[in-house]
Amino acid sequence: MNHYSDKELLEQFSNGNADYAFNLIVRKYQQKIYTHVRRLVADHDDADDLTQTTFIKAWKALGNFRADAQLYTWLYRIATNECYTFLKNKRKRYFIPIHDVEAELADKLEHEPSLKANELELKLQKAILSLPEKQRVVFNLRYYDEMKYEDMSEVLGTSVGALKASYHHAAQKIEKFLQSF
Amino acid sequence: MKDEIYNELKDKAPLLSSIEKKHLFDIPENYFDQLPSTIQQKIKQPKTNIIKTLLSGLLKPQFAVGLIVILLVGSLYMFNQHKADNQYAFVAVNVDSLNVNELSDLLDTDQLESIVPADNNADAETINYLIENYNDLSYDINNI
Repeated sequence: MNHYSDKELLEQFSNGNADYAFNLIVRKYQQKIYTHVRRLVADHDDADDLTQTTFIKAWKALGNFRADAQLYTWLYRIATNECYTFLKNKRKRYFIPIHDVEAELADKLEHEPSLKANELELKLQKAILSLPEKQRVVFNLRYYDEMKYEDMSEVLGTSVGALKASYHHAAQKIEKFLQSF
Repeated sequence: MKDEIYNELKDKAPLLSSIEKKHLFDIPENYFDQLPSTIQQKIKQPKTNIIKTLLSGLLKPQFAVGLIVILLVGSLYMFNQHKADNQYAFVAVNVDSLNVNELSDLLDTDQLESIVPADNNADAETINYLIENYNDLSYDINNI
């Protein structure tokens, strides 16, 4: 794990050390980005592809990155948009309505050999998948990534008030889902 | 931050807040050691590879057959289009230089009749006009 700040990494990137600096950026954020993506798409291969695409897109656009923005919220933003596009294409490809992709993901969870969850944790994952897509992203960013609402606002382009309300609704729905079993 | 999130949940979702958060998915061994170099390799791939990939795709039998069919249909269409253009060009160029007889030879009589219906009154008017305007009509008639 490197100890450079984002500012230092960006300075190195623009001062002719682009390859080295970008490698450090990938090492610094790969785990967070992969985990965020994996929670949304469930499958490792899909998450792997989407994580790689996120960093490749970041590499192409990093030259135009605004110094006043935060690198990590920007990476999360790219990754989240990639996931939205992926899920949208998946729906189009199979001509299935919105909730069916989530049903497919829930089914995948149940048969996922790499999932190390007890019964309650598995229910929690299913409850999260029962949320509407954008609410699910809000819940994951707050609950798992422990992201500040202000940072989430940068990632999702939504007001802090709307994000708080969305998280509140999501938590209540999940609680009900968990209690119903 | 952790406390803030826990406090936010503990009243409105006590069951949810009691679940221990942990990474539930297994990740292949050494995945995060290899990912940066995989990404670097993809970034460094020369752009010509895209062309190579496209070309190798086109060389696959199913694409090659499709491409041949498209080329055949396309060239047939272009040929017909060219032929039709030439026909119109021929008529357009030559109509001006034709005299009345040549033009009437070119006209399809059946088609002409359908466009200009027979009119007996018009014929009678023409004969009257000729009788009134030609002194030696018999000469003209004999010399036709």
